Amino acid sequence: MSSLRQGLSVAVCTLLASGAPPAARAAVTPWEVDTSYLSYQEANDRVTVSKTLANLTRSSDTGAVTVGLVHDTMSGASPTGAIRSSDSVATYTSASGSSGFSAGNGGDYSLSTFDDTRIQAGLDIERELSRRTTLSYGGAVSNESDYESMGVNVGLARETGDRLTTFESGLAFTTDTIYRSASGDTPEPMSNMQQQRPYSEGKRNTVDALLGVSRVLNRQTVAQLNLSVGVSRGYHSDPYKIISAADDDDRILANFHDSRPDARLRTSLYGKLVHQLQNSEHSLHLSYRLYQDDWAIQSHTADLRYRHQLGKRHYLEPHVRLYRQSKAEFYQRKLAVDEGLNPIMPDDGFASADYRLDAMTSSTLGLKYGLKVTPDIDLRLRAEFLDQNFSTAEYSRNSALILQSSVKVRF
Amino acid sequence: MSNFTGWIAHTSSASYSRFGRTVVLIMATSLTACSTAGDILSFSDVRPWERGTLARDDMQLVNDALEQSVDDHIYFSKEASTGGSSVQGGGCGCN
Repeated sequence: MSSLRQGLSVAVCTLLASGAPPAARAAVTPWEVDTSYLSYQEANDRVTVSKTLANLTRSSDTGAVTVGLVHDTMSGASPTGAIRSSDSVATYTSASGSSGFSAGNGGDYSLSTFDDTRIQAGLDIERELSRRTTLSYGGAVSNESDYESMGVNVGLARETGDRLTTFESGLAFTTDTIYRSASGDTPEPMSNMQQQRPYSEGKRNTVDALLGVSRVLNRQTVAQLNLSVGVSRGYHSDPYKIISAADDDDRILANFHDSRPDARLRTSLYGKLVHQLQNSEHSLHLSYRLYQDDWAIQSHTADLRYRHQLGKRHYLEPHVRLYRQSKAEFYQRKLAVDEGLNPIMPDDGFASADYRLDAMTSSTLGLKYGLKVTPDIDLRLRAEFLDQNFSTAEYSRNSALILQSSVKVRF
Repeated sequence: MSNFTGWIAHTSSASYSRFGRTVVLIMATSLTACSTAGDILSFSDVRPWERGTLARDDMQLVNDALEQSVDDHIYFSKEASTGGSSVQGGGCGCN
């Protein structure tokens, strides 16, 4: 009798827990607002970003509607791909979100300064079609001084009869418009910067598809496996990135605009485990992603979060993320020159010195503190340190401090 | 702020690896003490009334959507790989 009472008690608590179906939660607190402020600061006066986010969700008996807003202010300096040199003769026309390009010092054009603002708005709708089937769809628009993006997505999730397994599918379409903020155009790929011909703005369309399955393994563990494919066509070059042609002593003879293939096929396999440690309230989130694309980039990403409950109301969550990627097949630190000091141009016309396409390792260490101020107000504070090391890029290291504070209120 | 991160970038190697070792040690100890790979990967039939733990916020596959969207954006901007956990995204001319 005692065990029956205990079983019923657990069942009732389960229904009333915060993870209960939207209908159960909606009756009590149909509205939820989650706001956040984030500061991203790279070392050595590189990129600084201040990000403000807000998600407003209204839950009902049959689903939920979420409106999301993001505001970013970005400034600082970013590597152009050019080799650091004090006797460069190159001239530059513009930089992201800036009316002009400013050299670092003494004719060194390896860094470009920029100052920009980005606004993003999104709408996501989730609808229960039946007790076991959920449809979700939404869209987002993003705008900054040199980039416009619009995207729509749709997803379907269906649980099995025992509700232990959920199959998911998703499809998204994104269209991007890319141009230089000062001139509204893009440079001719692989053209000499001193003899450049402007092209019209760049367009790129992307279709992403995902198939996934999640499964309750036992009372304390959930597992997820996703396979996703993304195909993009159109302008993939970066209108601000350049690549230097230089001799063996790194003396720059000319600079050329970034040039990348006009299509990309990405695939990734993603797995995740969520587990509550035995005889405790501490939990573990462990994920791994294998990524590969037809630019010859392959990457491995491992992510581990451990939530340590300090009591009923607050917790600490250390976080480790490790990432490694190979370089794109057309990535080069510089274009070599022949005996006559003429640049050796790539046979296929593609070359980029963008540090993000170089082979790299990246690691993140972080710590989050969460506090339930009241049953309906959650506070989260986190600090993360990102450290990136590049194989051959002109700037071989990048590190950043990320600070974020978030408040979620249900009413 | 930039001075602070600059200081971290130049002096953190030793403390960074120390901190990393500490975090890994904490996680490994917790795993050893409280759970095993067998616990995690054992399959069992879970009845509806046995799902109290699984209903907790921290046991959801995405337990902080705002944080995940921020992280996706940061790593999309700084690495060549993207995607995997969802198909929702937003382009940017990030540097």
